[in-house]
Formats: sequence, C-alpha cells, structure tokens
Amino acid sequence: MMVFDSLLALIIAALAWRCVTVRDLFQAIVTFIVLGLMLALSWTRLDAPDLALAEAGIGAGLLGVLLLSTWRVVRDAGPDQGEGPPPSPWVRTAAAVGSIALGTAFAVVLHTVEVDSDRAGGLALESLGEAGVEQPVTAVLLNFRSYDTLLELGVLLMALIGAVLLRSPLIHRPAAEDTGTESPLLPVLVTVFTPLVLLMGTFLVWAGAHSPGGAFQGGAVLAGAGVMLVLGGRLGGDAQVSLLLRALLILGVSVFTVIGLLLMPLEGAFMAYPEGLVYPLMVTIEFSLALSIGLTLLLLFTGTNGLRGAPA
Amino acid sequence: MSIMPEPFALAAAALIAVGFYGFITQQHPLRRLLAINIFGNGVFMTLILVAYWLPGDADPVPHAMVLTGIVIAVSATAFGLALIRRRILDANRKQDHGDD
Repeated sequence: MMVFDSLLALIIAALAWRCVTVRDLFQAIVTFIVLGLMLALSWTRLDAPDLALAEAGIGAGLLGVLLLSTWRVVRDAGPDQGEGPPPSPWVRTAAAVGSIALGTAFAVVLHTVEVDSDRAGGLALESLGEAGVEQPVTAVLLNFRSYDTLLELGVLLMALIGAVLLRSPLIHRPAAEDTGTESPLLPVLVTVFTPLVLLMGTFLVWAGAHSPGGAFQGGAVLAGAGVMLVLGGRLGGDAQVSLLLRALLILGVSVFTVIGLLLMPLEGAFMAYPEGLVYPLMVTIEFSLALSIGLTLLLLFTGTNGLRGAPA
Repeated sequence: MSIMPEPFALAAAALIAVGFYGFITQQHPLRRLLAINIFGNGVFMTLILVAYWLPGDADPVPHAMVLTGIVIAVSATAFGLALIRRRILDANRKQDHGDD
C-alpha cells in the first residue's frame, strides 16, 4: 500500500501545482474539483471516512458547482476582468523561494512531531457511551463540542446573508437563463435521480449516529438534489422569501439552541443532555441541522432570497 | 516519529507551499480563492495525519475540527465568489454609464 499512498500523494501535489499554474481559469477550476476528489480518496486511506464524504460532497461537489457558475459570470464579463499586471520576476522568485522554505520547514516539522497519547480524543472515545451516538465524530460534533457546531452554523448563515445582500441587484433577472435545454434526457434524468439523491442524503444523515455520515454530508447531498432541480428548470430562484423558507433556514440553529436552553434546568449546563433522551435528541438535532445546511448551500448556489417551483 | 518519509505528510507540505505560491503570484481573485483553498486543504491533511498517527483509533476531535473547517472554508469561499460576481456587475454598470 506504500506504493499506492505515494502515488496518491504525488497526484495530489501535481494537481495542486497544475491548479495554481495552469493558464486557463476553467481548467484550474476542474483541476481543483479533481484535487478535492483525490483528497477524499487519501482521507479514506487515513481512517477518516467522514471527512472523505464531506470533502467529496461539499469541498469538491458543491464548491465545484459554485465555482463553475461563477466562472460563467467571469467568462461573460470579458477577458480582462480583475486581471492586474502580472507580478514581476522578482516577486515570482521571492514567492517561490518563500514557498519552498515554508513547505520544507513544514515537512520537517511534521516528520519530527512528537504525538502525545494524552489527548482530548481519548477522553471522547472513553465517554462515547454517554454521547447517545456510536459514531465518535458525530458525538464530538453534536455533543462534546456542540458549541463549535452551533457557531459554525452561524457562520454558514452569515455567509448566506452576505451573499444575498451582495447579489441583490441580480434577483429580478431570471434565475438561470439557460436552464431550459432542449435535451429530452434532462427531465427524465431529473425525475429519476432526484428521489434517489434525496433518499441517499436522508440515509447519510440517519447513518451519522452509528457509521460514517452525518448532518453535513447528508445536507450537502440534499443540496445537490436541489441544485439538480434548479439546473433542470424545476425549481427557480425567487425574490420573495417565504416564511416557511426562513423558518427552515434557521431551523438548525434554533433547534440546537432551544434544546440546549430548555434542558438547562434539568442538567444545570447549556447544551447538556439527560441520559435517557440523548439518542432522540441527537437524531432531532441532526435532521434539523441537515435541512438547514442543505437549504443554505442551495441558496448560496442560486444567489436569491427564496425559491419557487417553476411552472410545469 | 519515523525518519521514513510519509507520503501524505509530504503531500500536505506541498499543498501548503503551492497554495501560498499561488496566492502570491496569481492576480485573478478567483484564482486566489482557489489557492487559499489549496492551502486550507494542506492544513486539513495535517490535522488528519496527526489524528491518524495517534495510537489506537483515529482521534475524533481533530476530525470534527476538520469537518467544521471544511464547512467554514466553503462558506467563506461562497461569500468570496459572491463578492467577485458583485464586482463584475458593478464594473459592467460603470461601463454602460460610460457609453451613454
């Protein structure tokens, strides 16, 4: 397996180099997506299947879609958008020397690092029985370090609010002018695949309790189903944001916070869960998180306040 | 730790070095965003490696941090992309005014 690992590491380094140096922007974006998938592959080799799922779904998949749709805007705007003068040879040389020094120092440090066996993860693994879920990463995310996850959702929501504010002049245009392609294959594909993708997303969320998966991975897959509906013309952006949509967007944060606050008198601490209720609470929180995450990612893609079903 | 070179540790160092180089030398904002993301991926790879090296099962705490990191990186990048789109929109509008 050493040969496989070395090959994978080599491919990752080569793809990163190509992504940064290739002339064409489109090629750079595609290389970046492939790099994300290769990283996902290497993380499965490093005993991190949860992260591989997240990287493949969010880092390569959804971010790739966002990058490509922005690429279209950049391409339509003309060739000289945002291009400053190329950096002088001096800057290039200095940057190259600096990067090589940084990379070498980093590699040396990584090879000499002393790994201490006294760690937070050991505690987490030991007290896994109290977490209500068997999957250690989900337990850490939703129970032991739930503050992190709550604030992370806040960041996701802020990014959406910021993006919607910035793109407000775009709202009144049709959501995507080239959705209605003439291909007869598209409606069938969307009809057949959407339920399957939704099912897979739901399964990933549910599986997060005992095996790799979870709210983030499942939410990303749900968002992927939404992206497919938008591209297939079944769902469009809308300037009006309905009350239901707003409620769903903040569902994750509010369920998380409300449960944490409501149980405070019982347990005496914010976000501490009583023993008998842990499993149902975890699953409730996970599904509400996944819904909010999926919807937020989808709205980041459409860049609008709301969504509406397109006329059939 | 072992003196044997770890392929993924070298890959993490390469990602960080290449990401840094790209961020300095590239001019286009979209390319810079890609470079920052490559740098971030190097950091994620490092955390995953440290979790992997620990004795026993892989450490879930760095894993949870990386999962959080991936989502935050995508949020920040999506916001950056929205900024790029807005900049192009404003530039176009200015151009239209100039033509009038």
